[in-house]
Amino acid sequence: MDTTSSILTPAVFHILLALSTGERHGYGIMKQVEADSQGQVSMGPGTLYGSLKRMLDAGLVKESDKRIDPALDDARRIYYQITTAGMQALTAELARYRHIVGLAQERKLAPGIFGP
Amino acid sequence: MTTLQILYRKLLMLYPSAFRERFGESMEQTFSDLCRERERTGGVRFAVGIFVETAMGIGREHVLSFQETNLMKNTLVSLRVPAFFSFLVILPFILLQWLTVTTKRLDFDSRDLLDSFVIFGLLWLGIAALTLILLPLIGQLRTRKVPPPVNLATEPPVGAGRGALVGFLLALPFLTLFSLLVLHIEPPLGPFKALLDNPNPDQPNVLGTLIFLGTFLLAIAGCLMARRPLIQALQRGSSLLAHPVSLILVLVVVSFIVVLVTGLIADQYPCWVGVPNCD
Repeated sequence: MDTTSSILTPAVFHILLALSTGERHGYGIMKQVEADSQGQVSMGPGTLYGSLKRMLDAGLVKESDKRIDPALDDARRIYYQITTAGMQALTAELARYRHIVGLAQERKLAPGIFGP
Repeated sequence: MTTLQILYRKLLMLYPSAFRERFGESMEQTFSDLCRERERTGGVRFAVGIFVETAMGIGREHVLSFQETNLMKNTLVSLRVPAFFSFLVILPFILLQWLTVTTKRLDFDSRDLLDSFVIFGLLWLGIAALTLILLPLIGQLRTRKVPPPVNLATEPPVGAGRGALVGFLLALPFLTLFSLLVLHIEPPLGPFKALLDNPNPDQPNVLGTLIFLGTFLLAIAGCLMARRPLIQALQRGSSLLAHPVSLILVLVVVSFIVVLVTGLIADQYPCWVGVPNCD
């Protein structure tokens, strides 16, 4: 699967974005997604772990060796980290977004957002 | 552990086993984290949202796991997939009848219940049989590789001719009886007469139903036998036409089952929607 050229689902995109700044466990990813989207995206465990499964299978993320969160101190906690392929997919998706925003600016769409 | 966490653990049991073994504990942990967070911020209504979201995830994972699994292996190793799929297909009809009976307050006695049980049972069996017969074939067709050079010296014998013959013999009673029923030709001999002539119309035609069901099951078994060489041919990279007799037999039995299923639905649909004097 060529993940660098394919369009990512919103869940996969937000998970990659959340992991781009560091390793996180499931709950940590959910909180980061919520923060990144300013509360617009709220991801439940069903969506999160379903997406993580497919991302692990596609090599976009991998399990980290790190296990214990000093604050929560639970050995069962699994941390995930973004892989090189994951970073490439995220970069490609961001480039796609930039292209779309550029088009919107050129066509003077949503003037309140992209300019006067 | 709170009641919510216990319930959530039970809900996670519904995930496909591979998924549950891989992520079950983490999901439980994440749910505990969410519960802990909610204790601080107050409110427990979030649990409903999480349960619904997880339930949707369970459905999604089952669909995806079904798509990802080798269909051939899936259906041959277990009958659960066709049985479950068939149940899902007939469920709307069952609900439709139940809604009609409930909302229109129709009389629905034990005889009606038995008739419905037989009709839905036949529908379930028919659709499950179609799934069981066709899914592995479709799966093999989709994953068929480029045919390797045929080496007649090492080509394994598949016994296609014998399989087709036995399959034909097993399917023959059903094909005959069903043709007679569709063409309204009264079976001339012995117990088969019970199929058309119920001695007591007020009582269910148990004998006729059992005979029909028995021949139907035999036909499914025969079709599965005839299908085997077709699967083997596809696995070797050959065409379905490598075993034309088996192919014809499978197509004929499948066509009969399709006619049976669609005929039953077309015949019974007015009853399910509450058309007066429907039988």
